[in-house]
Amino acid sequence: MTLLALETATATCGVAVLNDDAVVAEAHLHRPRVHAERLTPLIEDVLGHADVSTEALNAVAVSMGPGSYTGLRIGTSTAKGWALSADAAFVGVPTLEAYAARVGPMAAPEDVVCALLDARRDEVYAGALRRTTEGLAEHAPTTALPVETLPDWLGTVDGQLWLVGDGAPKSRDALADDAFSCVTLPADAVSPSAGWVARRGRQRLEAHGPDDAATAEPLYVKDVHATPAPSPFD
Amino acid sequence: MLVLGIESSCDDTAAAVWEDGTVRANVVSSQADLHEEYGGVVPELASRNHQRLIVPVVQRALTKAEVDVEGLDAVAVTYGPGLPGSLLVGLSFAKAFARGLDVPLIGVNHLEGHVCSVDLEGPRPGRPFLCLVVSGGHTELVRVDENAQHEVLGRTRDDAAGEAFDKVAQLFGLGYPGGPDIDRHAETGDPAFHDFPRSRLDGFDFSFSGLKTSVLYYLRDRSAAERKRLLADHLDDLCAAVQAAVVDVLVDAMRRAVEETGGEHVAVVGGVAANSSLRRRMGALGREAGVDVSVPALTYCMDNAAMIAQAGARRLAAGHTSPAALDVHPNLQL
Repeated sequence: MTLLALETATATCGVAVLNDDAVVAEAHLHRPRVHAERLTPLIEDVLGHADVSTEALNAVAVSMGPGSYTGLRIGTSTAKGWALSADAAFVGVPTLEAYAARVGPMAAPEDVVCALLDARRDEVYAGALRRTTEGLAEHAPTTALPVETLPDWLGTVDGQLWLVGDGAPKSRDALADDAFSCVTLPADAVSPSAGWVARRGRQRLEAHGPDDAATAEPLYVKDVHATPAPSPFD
Repeated sequence: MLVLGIESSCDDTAAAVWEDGTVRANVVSSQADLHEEYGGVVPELASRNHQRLIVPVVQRALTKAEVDVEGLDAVAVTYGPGLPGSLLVGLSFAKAFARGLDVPLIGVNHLEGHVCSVDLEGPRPGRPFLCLVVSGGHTELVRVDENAQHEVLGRTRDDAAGEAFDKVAQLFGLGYPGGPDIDRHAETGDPAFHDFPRSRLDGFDFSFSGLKTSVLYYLRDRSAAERKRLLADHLDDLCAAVQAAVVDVLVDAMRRAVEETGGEHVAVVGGVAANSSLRRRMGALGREAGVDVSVPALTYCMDNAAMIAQAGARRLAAGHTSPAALDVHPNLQL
């Protein structure tokens, strides 16, 4: 299987190509607000370095959020365009699942990896995976919540708790009490990774088959808050 | 040449298949119902809807045109002006689609697309021609030469003409977009019922914000009961009076531009070009001034992707293509 993977949910703009079992090429920019301009050229570069032609692509995986709405729009639309033109399968990967999975190999069984992205004000987007003897399992579902409610959302952690993401620093005080042994990984050293979107994308394809590119939507998590226009005569 | 056009600059998701001057499919999915309760386009809602619609709309256009994607020669897409989030969905999809098919990508200015809409059907206007681009987001008077170069003679300094209709429609308790409702009510109204202001600026610039304010004051200076009664008894008259104020200004500018430039061909494009009074009055101006008047079919006045494909094909024929690094330009001008 040859799979193209895109990660654009945060300030990281990443592209990876997975060939059979291995990620054979990946490239990341860690710059905000360049994704619209750079993503497609970066895809061409990475496909070129992987010696993969469009016709050879079997699948396109994309980080579906939560994250920056603009980043998600760019990544999802781009993935749909490649999937449709290359007649490749489309698969959406939850951003925090791929991000937490990146830390998975460092964790021991019963450890929990919590990926946290800053969602402005006192909120974070949070998702958590638990290391098991077989691999990784969902520990707590992806959500957006105020940091002080993180302990209730997270529940019991039997092993060590790993925090990763740009939302980790502001979450740490709420989570680092006596109940947990907590390690925080700096977001600039351990950033979201297109390679891990590729690996989780392949797993999802094998487990559930492809998603429908025609109906796939990013995981915005938050609804649009628009209020009807007030009466001009009040 | 077979071109796929994609347009997502505001609240309509559109795709079209164009072949050597013939529109083989023109699909537009409007979100107007979705935005109606807010009295205008909510950008985040619009962006999310484009994401939902982009693939179904493109697939529908390809199916209707009975075209296999491998047969496409180019992908043309709007890259500005418009709402950033809305533009990003269409442009990101189009860039990937074009690269995946290994065909040229052509970024198209939405306003240039509207100007090209007069070439989609019927006799093309002769060149050079004076073109009034009037919609919910734009009001510009331009001169278009043989090589499709645009010289902007004037543009609005505040609200667009269609925006004035939208805002006044909201004051009248009508739907969004306001233009079609005002047009329908105005059919049976008396334009002389009230004299709303017509702004006339130096040169060919426009201003419509004063009209909205004038309508607001006209209604606000009454009690709620009186206002309700006035709108119940005279909604058609008020719509006719507002429409006349907008149309007078547009027709007057075009008349002066014809006199000043000696132009022989004029065109009116964009959503407001669907307004029945503007179409009639432009026709009358053509007869009085002895100039040809071109107005696109109603389908091509609204935002659509056929005009983007048409403009893109012309650019491609002139040797222009866009790089894979093309970004959206929300404030792009002609």
